[in-house]
Amino acid sequence: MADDVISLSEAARISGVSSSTLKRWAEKRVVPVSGGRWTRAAAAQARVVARMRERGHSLGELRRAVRDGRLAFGYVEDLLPETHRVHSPAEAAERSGLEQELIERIMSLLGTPTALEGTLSEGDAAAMSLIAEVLKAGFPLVAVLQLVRVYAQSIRKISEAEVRVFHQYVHQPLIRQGVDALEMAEEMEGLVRDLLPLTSPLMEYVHQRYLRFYMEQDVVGHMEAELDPGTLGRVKMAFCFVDLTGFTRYTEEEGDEEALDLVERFVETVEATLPSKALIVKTIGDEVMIVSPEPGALTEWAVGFLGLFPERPQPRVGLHYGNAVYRDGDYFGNDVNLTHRVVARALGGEVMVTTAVVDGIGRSDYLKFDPIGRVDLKGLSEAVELFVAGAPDPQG
Amino acid sequence: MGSTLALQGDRGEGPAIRSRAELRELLDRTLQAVDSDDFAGPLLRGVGLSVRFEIPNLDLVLNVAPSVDPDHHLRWEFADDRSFDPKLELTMDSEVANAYLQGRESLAIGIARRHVRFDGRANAALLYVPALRLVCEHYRRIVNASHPDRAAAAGR
Repeated sequence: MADDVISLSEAARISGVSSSTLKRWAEKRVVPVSGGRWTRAAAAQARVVARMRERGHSLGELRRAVRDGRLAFGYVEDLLPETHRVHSPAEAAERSGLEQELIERIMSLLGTPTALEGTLSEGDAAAMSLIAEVLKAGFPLVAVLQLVRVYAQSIRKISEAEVRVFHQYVHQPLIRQGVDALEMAEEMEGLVRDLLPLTSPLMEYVHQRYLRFYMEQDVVGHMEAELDPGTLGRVKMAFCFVDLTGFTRYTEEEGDEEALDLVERFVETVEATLPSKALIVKTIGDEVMIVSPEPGALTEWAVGFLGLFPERPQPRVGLHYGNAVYRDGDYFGNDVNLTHRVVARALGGEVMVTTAVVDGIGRSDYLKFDPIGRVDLKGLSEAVELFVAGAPDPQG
Repeated sequence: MGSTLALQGDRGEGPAIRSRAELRELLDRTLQAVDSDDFAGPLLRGVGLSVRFEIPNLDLVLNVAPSVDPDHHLRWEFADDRSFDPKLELTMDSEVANAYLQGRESLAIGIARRHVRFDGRANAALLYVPALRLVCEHYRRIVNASHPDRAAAAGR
């Protein structure tokens, strides 16, 4: 229970701080202890205080932070599995059957500071055994390493977002309400205790949904590869870059926060209007990269999307249809680079496309393509024929 | 706007919404649900949603704006009230509206195919187009629950 009284020595064990230091912190009200009764919540806060002291914060600063409830997150950490480092890489190697060098490489790919400490927790060691099973099943090592890197990068972002969202929507409002520090810690612990068991099934659900989607895409990809053996190992996609013209000037004129708001709304508007098979691959500042197996739908989207922006800020779009290597959740290759060059040549309010897009779409009732001739693009040895896509005149 | 046209690919076979009363009832129920939604209501009020939907084939106009009543987030009326000065206007026939409001049809593709007419400033599009997804979620739920035949009309 959150309000269970524990002994001072137990508090010292939980916090990793000596009993004498805990008593001193309690006297100085750096840790909220009422009537000399230590609780798990207080011990958890002491652990956070110790961490903050190591980072150079004074006791005065920490007392104010504790009073405001800003360190109340400490207790929530107790709900996560303990990460005592109990295995050396050699022990994990013996247990899993993996080579020690491979374990060190995987732990390095996981990329968290704890992964670089040289020892493995029980959870780490169990994960190595799972990876060993995957390899025994015949999945190639290079593919396993690629997936570990993708898992680490993606789940790091999820975890970071979860903590930040919780902070923004739960912790900060409690601070603003002036809730007592211990009460706040216990309230947050209760909420997290309820939420944690829900996150894994939710992630599993989203994972399954995307797996199904990409398996369907893969079937299409295999069919196309069989039709064109030169593309084996690559995926055929329509690639699209869209960005906001004049964004740098907008940032200078309106300031960073206004510009960030604009980018967030811009990306949300892209997401809200994309056709069903199109996906955002990544965003880089005001630039969004989108892929779709359907060049026609993506080009129609681009033309219609620009219709939402009759004046500044006006986006511009570059589109190409070709092959790329898919790696780590991103697309690489000359065709992707070419698409990037194409958008750089577009003006605000223009959808510029390559011949491959025009040919890939064929006849369309909803699109017209005005040729602008062969254009030299930076980094390409040969000029490329480009077209401006638009909606045909309603009168035909 | 011309007559209702079938959008390629995204909408399947099935009876479309043909009656003004039927669409009006669906939209009214949707907005009531949005208004009482603790998440969507404040959010739409916060962005100052100011939109006019025109459904010419059913001669239906819907104006939506933030409520001045503190007990509500939104106010809406089914009237061609020209004193209402929306920041964004969307015009589409009922079949397109039914598909768009169920999230089955991309608004941008509707614009490209001239099935949707958009009038408004870029800033209004950036604010309202993402926010309208919250309205679409409620519309889809209501159609699925009470008019499954209309859900079929919107395809997949």
